[in-house]
Amino acid sequence: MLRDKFRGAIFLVGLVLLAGSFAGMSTAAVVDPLEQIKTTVSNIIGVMQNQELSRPDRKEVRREKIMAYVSQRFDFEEISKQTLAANWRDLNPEQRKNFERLFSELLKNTYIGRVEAYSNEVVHFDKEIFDGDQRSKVMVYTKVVKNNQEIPINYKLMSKNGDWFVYDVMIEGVSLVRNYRTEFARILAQDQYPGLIKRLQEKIDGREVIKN
Amino acid sequence: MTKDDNCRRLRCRSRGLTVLVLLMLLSGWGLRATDLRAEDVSGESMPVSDSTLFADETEGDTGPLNKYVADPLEPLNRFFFAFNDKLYFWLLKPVSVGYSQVVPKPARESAGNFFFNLKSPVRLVNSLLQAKFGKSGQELARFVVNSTVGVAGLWDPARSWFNLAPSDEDFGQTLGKYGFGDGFYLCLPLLGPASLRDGVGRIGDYFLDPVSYLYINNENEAALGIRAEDTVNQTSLRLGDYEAFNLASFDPYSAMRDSYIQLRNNKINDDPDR
Repeated sequence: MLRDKFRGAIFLVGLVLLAGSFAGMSTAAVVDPLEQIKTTVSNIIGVMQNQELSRPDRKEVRREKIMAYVSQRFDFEEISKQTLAANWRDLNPEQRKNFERLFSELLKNTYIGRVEAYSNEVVHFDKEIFDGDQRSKVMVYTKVVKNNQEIPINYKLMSKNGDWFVYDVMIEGVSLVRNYRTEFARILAQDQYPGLIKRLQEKIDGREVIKN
Repeated sequence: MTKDDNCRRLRCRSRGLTVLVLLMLLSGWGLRATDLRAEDVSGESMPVSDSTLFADETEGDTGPLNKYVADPLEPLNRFFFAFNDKLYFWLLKPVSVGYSQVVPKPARESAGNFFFNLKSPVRLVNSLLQAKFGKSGQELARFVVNSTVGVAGLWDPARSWFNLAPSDEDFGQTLGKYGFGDGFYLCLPLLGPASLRDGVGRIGDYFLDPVSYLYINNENEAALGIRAEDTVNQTSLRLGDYEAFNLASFDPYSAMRDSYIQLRNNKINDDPDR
């Protein structure tokens, strides 16, 4: 009889632990950065491969849809902050908003062109690596297979309000943020903030004229 | 012992077994949640967390403006950069566009596969020099499979059927692995971005590329023809990349220099023998 009770207790403890571990696992499983990247990329590829939207007159609609998906997952304010680094502190809120608006438009324009070019390639979603126990940052590894080569495209995401947002993209190990940080630092050193805004605007307008 | 007793014992035992199994499973789950490094059977370690990946993020630091590589020859490099740029837009791109309109994409992809397969010795030897025996074995297997089943390398059944991924090694990376730094940046006419070390690397790889032996045997026209075809073919499959790169950067010359150095360092420090 004593043995039965003991077993019963073990069983109950086991159940409680089981429930506990499930609870722990489920919160991690609900918002998984790898899944979120997969969803975003799949959505974008879905738009690209949509027959109805591939007609030339629907190009704007298609681009808008892609931009919407990108905006959902990318934290452009964080990207802007990181690319300006120490110089971000010197800007007032209006200047920051202005820079963020122009920079995100430049990024979206440039990379939408690339997404359209690479839409028929296979994307592999490999793995995710967190920054430690706190799990506030994560790197998601993906690969685009084009011709004979695998192009690693890794996303760095940070956790905000229980959701994950991209703050850097590394293509073949080359970091977007790092590159722009160097370029912006140079421009700001020479022409300061008005010069930077002017050059951003020129770039965006120039984009309209030159065909890809 | 009655039959009832036996049954009871069996039931007790199976219950005990269930609890035991449950406890084992639980302890397994518990471990996985906090485990920082789970070794899988083949000995490859698969970390699920690694804070060194994020260590180079410096929030407030813009860094020195030119920290990636020395560029003592910058004026000359910029000249050749502009030269290559013009060459691309005036010559290479129009030819490649015309080529892409005449030759259908699958044929161009097969041609690309063919040229890529030809350069197997470069990847194989350099993997060996870096003691990446697994990678070099894989490269040899790829070469054999693609040259036979893949009909002279036109197709890539090694990847699609046997899951043998291509590697990417060259002598510049080998030198880098042995501790040679970049040296300084070079923008070579026609060949594009390089460094002192990678320039030497190219010379080393020259002797591993089968096409070079056509030059060595004085079949210059054939060799040039093959190289030109390879270049035009590759460009036709990547039309738009260079334009996008130019549009995305404010100073394409420095962006290319910085990207090139980052890319090379990444390749040198890539995953060990997979």
